[in-house]
Amino acid sequence: MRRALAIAARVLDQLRRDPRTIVLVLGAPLLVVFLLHEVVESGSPEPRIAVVGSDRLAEAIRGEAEVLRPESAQAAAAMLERGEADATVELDEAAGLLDSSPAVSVDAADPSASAAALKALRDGLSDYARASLPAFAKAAAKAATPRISYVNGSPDETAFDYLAPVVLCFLVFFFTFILAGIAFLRERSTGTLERAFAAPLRRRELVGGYMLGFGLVAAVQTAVIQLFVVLVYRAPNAAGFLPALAIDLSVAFAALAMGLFLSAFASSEFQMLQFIPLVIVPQVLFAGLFDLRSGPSWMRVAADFFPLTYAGNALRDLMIRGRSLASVLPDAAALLAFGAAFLALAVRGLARYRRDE
Amino acid sequence: MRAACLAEARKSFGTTKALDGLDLEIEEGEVLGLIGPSGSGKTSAAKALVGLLKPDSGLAEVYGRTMPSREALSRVGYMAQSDALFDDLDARANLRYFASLQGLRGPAARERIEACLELMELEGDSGRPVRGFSGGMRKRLSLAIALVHSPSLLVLDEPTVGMDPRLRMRMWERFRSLAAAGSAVLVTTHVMDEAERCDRLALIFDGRRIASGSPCELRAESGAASLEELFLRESP
Repeated sequence: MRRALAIAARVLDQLRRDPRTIVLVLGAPLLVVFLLHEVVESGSPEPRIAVVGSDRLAEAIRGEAEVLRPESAQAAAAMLERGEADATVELDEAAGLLDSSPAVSVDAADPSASAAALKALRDGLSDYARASLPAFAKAAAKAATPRISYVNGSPDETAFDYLAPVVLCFLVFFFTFILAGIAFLRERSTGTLERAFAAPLRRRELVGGYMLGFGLVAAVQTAVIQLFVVLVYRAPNAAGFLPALAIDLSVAFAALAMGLFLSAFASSEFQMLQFIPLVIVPQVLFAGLFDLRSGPSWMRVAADFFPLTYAGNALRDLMIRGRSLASVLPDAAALLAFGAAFLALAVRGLARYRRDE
Repeated sequence: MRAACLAEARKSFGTTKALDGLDLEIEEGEVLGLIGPSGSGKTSAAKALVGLLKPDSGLAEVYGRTMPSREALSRVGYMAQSDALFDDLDARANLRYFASLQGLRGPAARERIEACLELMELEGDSGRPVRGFSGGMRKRLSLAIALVHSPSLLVLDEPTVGMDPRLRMRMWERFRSLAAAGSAVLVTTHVMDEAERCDRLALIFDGRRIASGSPCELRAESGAASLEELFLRESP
């Protein structure tokens, strides 16, 4: 145990003398969170809709989108063609909705712009319908309007709030994996690892020392990111600070163990970085940034093998849905099991230095 | 008394035989020189003695214990060919780390660290990061680390490579005085004038010992005028 402490102290001593890495570990995640917030929350521009014919429909749509009034259907089509409008709609004012239906064309080049234009059109058309339809139809429309209540969070929740927990655990995973992996790799290549085993050191003491040292770094890092996300950007943190910290530390544990184990398969820092597209990127894609429920089944099976899947689940449950730490114990257990398995593999991988245990 | 030995040690990496039935004994109070051409198995022999390489068959023993034994390791000082230093730490922090791995703590550790820095004439540079050290300084620090826990068996793999002649002479004086104080010192080398300074030599080739004895005996036995000539003749 004393030797493990000696190793942890040395790991931290090395880090202390490397201010650039400290700034990177603590500063880069904040920069990423800042950029994510700006990108996600900047919102989309108002859709532009060309309305031909009905003035009252144009008025109804004006609340939802920027309305253009071309002279004719041909002029509207030309605007759509040139990209000046995202959608066009044509409705004969005199005929109204009962005797004719609106003709809509949408620019399909940008899916998010066309979706926004369609939504604005639908909302505008339903406002128009409610205003222009006879009384019995109004009653029917009112009856069809649902009353909505929200569970698991509030309707004010933004896309950033939903992404924040996943990004949080990704950042912790990424930095811990890379830092610990490269530090361990360097020990192999410079011979300090071999030299350490010329002393009466146990393999598990060495690995334990690394866990302690980098675990502490990860704890500070995750605390800083979490405070930043919650205090500066007001992301929901319904279950409180410590449960989320506990999950992030489990993430760091799994990342550390994977980094130590995989560093044995890299012979240079560059090869360590080659693990990023193999180990890190798939996890990010599968860890809850995208909804996989409608994806092929192999995808959901694959996601089960990635620690970040469990971390993202647990953090969303804690931060957004306000569940208790006890309710995310299965996820935490999965993370710890990943960590323990890779740790055992890492200790085994050290057998080429020492076989007496 | 015998400090360490290899008996019939064999080790192959794929088809290459690093050790091919090597026998070796080191007595307390002597400097044993392990000489042989590059790739003859000197480094493998040194690693087998400190438990970093487990022979496929045969025996590696230190103070009567089969290696690797953690108990025996606390009495062994090892210096590999590569310097194995933390470049971003200063000399004292490097020493402190390896001293703590040997279980040294507190005032006793501090005392040994300062003594080793002084012995290797590094006191003035002890606060500088190792990154800026010259090759000779790195070697001296590496040797200081091997000595920090006052081992009674030293296994030094080409300790004087890259040292200037004056520094090399001083290092050999240290090895001699350590042996005089009762330590066993194993040094691998292929510098022949260093071989002359050993009490005993073991000439190894292709993982086997092909001759052993004091420098005088080896010369007399073979009729060679110098160890250099013997070395050239014995290595086909």
